[in-house]
Amino acid sequence: MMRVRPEDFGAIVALDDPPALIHVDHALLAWLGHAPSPYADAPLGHLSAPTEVHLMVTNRCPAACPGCYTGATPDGDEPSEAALLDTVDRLADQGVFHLALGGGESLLHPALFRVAARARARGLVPNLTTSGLGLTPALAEACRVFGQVNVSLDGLDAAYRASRGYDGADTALRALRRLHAAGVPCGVNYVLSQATWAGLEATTAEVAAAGGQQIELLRYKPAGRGRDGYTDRALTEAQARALTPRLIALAAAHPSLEIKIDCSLVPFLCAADPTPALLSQLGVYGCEAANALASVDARGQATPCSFVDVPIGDAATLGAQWATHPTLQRWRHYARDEAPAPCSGCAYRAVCKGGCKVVSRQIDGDWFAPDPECPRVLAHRRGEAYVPVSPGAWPVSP
Amino acid sequence: MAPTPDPPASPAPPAAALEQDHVLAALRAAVPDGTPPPPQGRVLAVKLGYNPNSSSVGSVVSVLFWSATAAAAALNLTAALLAKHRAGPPDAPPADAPPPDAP
Ligand code: SF4
Ligand code: SF4
Repeated sequence: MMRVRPEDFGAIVALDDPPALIHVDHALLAWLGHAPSPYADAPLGHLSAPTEVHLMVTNRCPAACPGCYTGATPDGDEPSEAALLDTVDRLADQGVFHLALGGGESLLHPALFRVAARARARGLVPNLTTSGLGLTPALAEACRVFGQVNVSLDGLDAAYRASRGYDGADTALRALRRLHAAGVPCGVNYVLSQATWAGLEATTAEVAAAGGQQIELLRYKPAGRGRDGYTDRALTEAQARALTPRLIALAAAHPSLEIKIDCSLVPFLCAADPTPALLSQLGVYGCEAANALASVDARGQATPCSFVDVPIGDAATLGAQWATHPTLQRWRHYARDEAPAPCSGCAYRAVCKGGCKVVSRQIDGDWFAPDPECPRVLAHRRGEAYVPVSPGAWPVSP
Repeated sequence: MAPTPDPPASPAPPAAALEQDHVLAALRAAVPDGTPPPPQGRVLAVKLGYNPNSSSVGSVVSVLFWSATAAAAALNLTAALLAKHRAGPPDAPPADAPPPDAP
């Protein structure tokens, strides 16, 4: 299936096999046989809609992980099926391509698979995050409705326990094996913190053995319960600088595994001086809150990103407010319009967009400040010239 | 200087590993050998894969680690993939496409 959405630069073409969002220019759009983009002569200066929306289907979860960014509890908020279906319809009307369903523990919502089916029927690709708790073989089969399912796995044994507060690694790996056996594209989301830093290689090997096709690394973030004791959990500067060489070694050890990083880790990737143009061409996204990304929480409130408790209205109004809401405008244009040094002069500003604003809010008390854990920002604040990480380690050098 | 010394540089992954890269393999499998790229226009960027992470947005970085050639290959294969998806004979609009002046 091919979907085409006009944009300033031409269009975004969404394909399913293999899954890809392809930005094409106006000439290629014409060759593909589509009408010219209406934004060619009246540029918006941003995407016409998010490419991806995170939809929290429940904030219920029995696990009570200490760092849970949504603060999920066994009796947390949960939207009705009707509300979720309405949100799916509105996002489809807006032209969103991908829906990331999560929680809480998403599998607890009795209508989860009907919501996913509605998304498919409306041309959206639903994807799922789960802890794996309760993922029976039958549910694994039902997960074929999703484009991909990732299981949260922050390490093995003691590391998982330290991160999540309970022994869930075996459950997560069993869920991964069940998904793989059912033919569902699947992988793992791995939250990088001081507690999980050491276990990355061993966990990656288990993921590959269990049939996972991907490991996505997420930076530990100070949101929900994750705000408590944040500095004891966040990666250190030395760990931030060590990340890219470590990922290169991991890619060499597991070439058939996709290695992904989340938006908030992009400053750490950039610490090793990759070629900026290549990051753009290969769709590496830094802070895309309120541009490629938006979120709808369990109360039906739309926000620029899942970690950001700054509601901009209910999900029903997201489409109408997308271009004009002042909060969305400020979030999406912060890096372009107001980021101070060192971000203002940084070669990675257009991709990284100033780093993770959730971390800025936690450390500096201001969403709109340079990421205080970015190695470049740290060097700047110490009044030092920035020394790139491990020059020579990076095969793609400028 | 950073307060802690950086770890030693990682060696570049061996070229043979590139052949197994999951992302490039999926692109190659989807594009028949010899599919020509579109004769006009450009792929500006490609974001590969889905994002089954309901908290933040992810990007595949493994392709970046192989070489500049691998990254270029990903873009070229993507262009060829689009050419494959374009219905109808070369240089003609797809049968189901709107007329060029459609709104
Ligand atoms: S604030 Fe930006 S970088 Fe941080 S998680 Fe949200 S979208 Fe990602
Ligand atoms: S200096 Fe700012 S823009 Fe540059 S990598 Fe760091 S956070 Fe990102």
